[in-house]
Amino acid sequence: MRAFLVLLAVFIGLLAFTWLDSLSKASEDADVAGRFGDPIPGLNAGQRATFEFGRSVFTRRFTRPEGLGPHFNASSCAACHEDPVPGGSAQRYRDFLLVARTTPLGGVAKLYPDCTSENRATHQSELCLPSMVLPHYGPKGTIEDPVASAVEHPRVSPEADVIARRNAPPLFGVGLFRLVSDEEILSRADPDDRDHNSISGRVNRIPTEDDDIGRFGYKCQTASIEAFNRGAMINQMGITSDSTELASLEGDRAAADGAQPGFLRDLLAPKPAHAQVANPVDRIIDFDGAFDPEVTRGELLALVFFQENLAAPRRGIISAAATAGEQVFARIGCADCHVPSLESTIGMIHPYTDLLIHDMGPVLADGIEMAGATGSEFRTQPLWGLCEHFPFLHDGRADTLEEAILLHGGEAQRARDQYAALGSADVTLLHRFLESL
Amino acid sequence: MNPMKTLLAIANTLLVAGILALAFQTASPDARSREEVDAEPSREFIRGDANDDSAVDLSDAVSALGTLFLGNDEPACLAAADSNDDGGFDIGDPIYLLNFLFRGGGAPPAPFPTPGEDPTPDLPCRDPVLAPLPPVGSYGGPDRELSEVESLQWRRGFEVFDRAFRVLDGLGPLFNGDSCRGCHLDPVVGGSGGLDVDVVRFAYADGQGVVSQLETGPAASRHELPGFTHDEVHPDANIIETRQTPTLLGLGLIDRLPESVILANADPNDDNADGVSGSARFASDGRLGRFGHKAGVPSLTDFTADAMLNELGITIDPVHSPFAGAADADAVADPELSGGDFDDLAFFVSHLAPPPRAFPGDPVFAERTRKGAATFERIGCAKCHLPVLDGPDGPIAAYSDFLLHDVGDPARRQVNEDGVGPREFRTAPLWGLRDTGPYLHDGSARLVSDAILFGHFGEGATAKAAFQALSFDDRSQLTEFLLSL
Repeated sequence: MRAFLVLLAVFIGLLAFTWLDSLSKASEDADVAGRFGDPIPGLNAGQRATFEFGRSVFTRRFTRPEGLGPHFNASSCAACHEDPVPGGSAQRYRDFLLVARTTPLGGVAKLYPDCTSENRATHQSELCLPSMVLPHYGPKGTIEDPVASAVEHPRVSPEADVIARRNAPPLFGVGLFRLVSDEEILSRADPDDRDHNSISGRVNRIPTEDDDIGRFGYKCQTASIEAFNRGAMINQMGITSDSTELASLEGDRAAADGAQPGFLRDLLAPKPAHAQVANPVDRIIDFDGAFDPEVTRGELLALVFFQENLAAPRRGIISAAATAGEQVFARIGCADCHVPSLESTIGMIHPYTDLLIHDMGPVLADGIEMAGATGSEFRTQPLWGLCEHFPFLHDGRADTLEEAILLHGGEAQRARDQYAALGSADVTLLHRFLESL
Repeated sequence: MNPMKTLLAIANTLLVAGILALAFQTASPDARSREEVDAEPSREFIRGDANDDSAVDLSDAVSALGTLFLGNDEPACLAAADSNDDGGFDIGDPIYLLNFLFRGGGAPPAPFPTPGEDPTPDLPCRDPVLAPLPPVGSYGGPDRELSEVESLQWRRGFEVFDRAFRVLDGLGPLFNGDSCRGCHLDPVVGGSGGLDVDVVRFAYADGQGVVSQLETGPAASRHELPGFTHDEVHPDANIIETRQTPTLLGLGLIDRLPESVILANADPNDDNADGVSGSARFASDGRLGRFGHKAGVPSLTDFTADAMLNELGITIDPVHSPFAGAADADAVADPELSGGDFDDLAFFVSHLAPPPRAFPGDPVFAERTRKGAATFERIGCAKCHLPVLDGPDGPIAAYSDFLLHDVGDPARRQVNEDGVGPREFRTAPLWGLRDTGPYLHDGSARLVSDAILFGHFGEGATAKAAFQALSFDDRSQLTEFLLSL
């Protein structure tokens, strides 16, 4: 009988342990890794179908009659996010330029801030560009008469005094950043460098209704994947879309005051939740002859779903050298910003970033300001998937990892100098580690 | 029975089972790999050549040390890495090799220094795993059966075609792409590209319509290296055009056509009075031009060298081609691509199969396609878009005569090339049409019918008028035929 009681006690203990274990699941690794281009594990059949539909929107090549242009750099999302599979990064041939001018009050601005829908329609040839993105191709003829006029080639305006290059970043695992809580990000922010380690990361607050923390983009300039998609679509492809949030808002307003829907939508809803900082109220009309919006709401939702659920890069077998290299990585201070693990609502993820913006010094500075980020501040770039990435840095200026590391400055100066002073054995280990990501 | 004893018995059984399972798990991979060794067909190798590059040198010792201590992949040919032939791959092997290379130690045992079979078969020597080539004649595959040596060269050429050139490899200073594949990607590597990889050409036309080149040249590159100024369209330019990426599939067949086959169709003075007068263009060295929208480039090698310079900024020793750039302004020593790499690249490009035809399986549509082809000949399209040319290795269905014709829109000012009329264009080959839209040299035609209507004036006007006079159904059949190409 006594033995039976002992057994019962053990059984209850086991149950309790299992329950406690499930409670502490949050600090375990999230099951989110997969091969490049896979969805995160655990999607049901319906979600997988949406994911695949989103991928088909991502790889869809738009034509001019379907709404491509009038100005564009690419004809599909996958054009610039192609390497090694749709959703990845791109080599230098897909780079594009951001152009801006400094204002008398300090700061930089788009070249044509006073462009309205009306003068865009009537003065297309004056290159009334909607954002800082310089398109490579301009309007060409019209739908009715495609050969009537030659191409209009957008040029860098003489007024521009800030020109910055951008290389397309990979999208694997970016959807997980939306699952990282504000508190988790803020816990590492140290804007006044109170711990005197010369590293002072801060968050980039986006001027939305809730002043959301930006997580996406080279300067953390966007707080939602939908905003990032809509911004990239209009700036890079000239594809208009209606924000899922704006559309309902606009409908409400139209119903309330009888305003003409469609045309006035640009002017409404000044603080949308899905704001793109480069262009807080994204244009929903682009005067290229195609009916706006040029993607449906269903396509937009699927596109966003695809990116939200792209699996994080899976690490292969981690060699002893890579493990030793990670210790070097931590020892010389790389891991102070490239934080290996973040806690998300579904468990730990390992992106090697703190999602904060840091001053990277004059060598990397590009003069582009976005929301709170200054011209020399950049988000700590996630390092997962690094093994498939080329070239490196926001402007793709580095051919090799070594170059990329040595170009770090500002808050990363100390870690960079320690790297430069490493013995060759440690350097090799560190590179083994980076290549294993 | 005492419940405690039962419990202990169960625990014991579980323990034993667990140990057995563990032991089995640890043992089984070994057992498997041993079987594989026995079944492994051995091949010829050079002992000491750990990195399988057919040479025994310092790089083999480095590669062996990398495997042993840095966690790099195991060499495919373990027997070659076993430099001292002691039946195992360990630290002794690179030490033995270094001793031999630099301290006058003993040479590796046979097979050395020439490749041969292993006289002491103890370790496996696998072939490096290569993905199979696409089938002959398929999209992106080779144009004929390649020998083993050729298929290796084809693979190396593919690698160069696919290689993203880095700044330190000599990219730029001005460039449109950093790989060949960057633009030639659709629907397979070697194919064409969309509007978004078009390149830009510009020129100046005065009040009389005379077109001249501006001093910054006809092209504006898309990108530049850090430290170089962005390449802009000249501010005085009033003609700006884009250029579509042409497909490279099948161009090797055109390259190997004897000049006489193309010249046989030339009729510069329209002696047969059919309103069509194809003329040949010759390069300054007397060779017949066959590539490029204006037939300015005589050979595929020249075309490749020209693109390497103008699209990537990669220099090549000019012994390979007069179109190669010998030197450029970046910091990398010229030539930036070795002769061997360039030869491989040229071999790959010249042995890409033509785009396969897509015959409709449905008998009704097959019949319509056949009728469309007949209409194509009947209304005179085939006078320039020759359905068949007699190649040295059989008929070539490129649907072009590779001659220049006056077909441009007289109402339109166009960028010009020296020595060719502004409205003269080489007959565009139509093979692969279904996958190369949008059409015409500048991509201005979205539809096949647009291409017919907007791209055919002058010599092409008669055929176009005949097309416009066709019934709706005949036009549809013609289009269906074209889209089967």
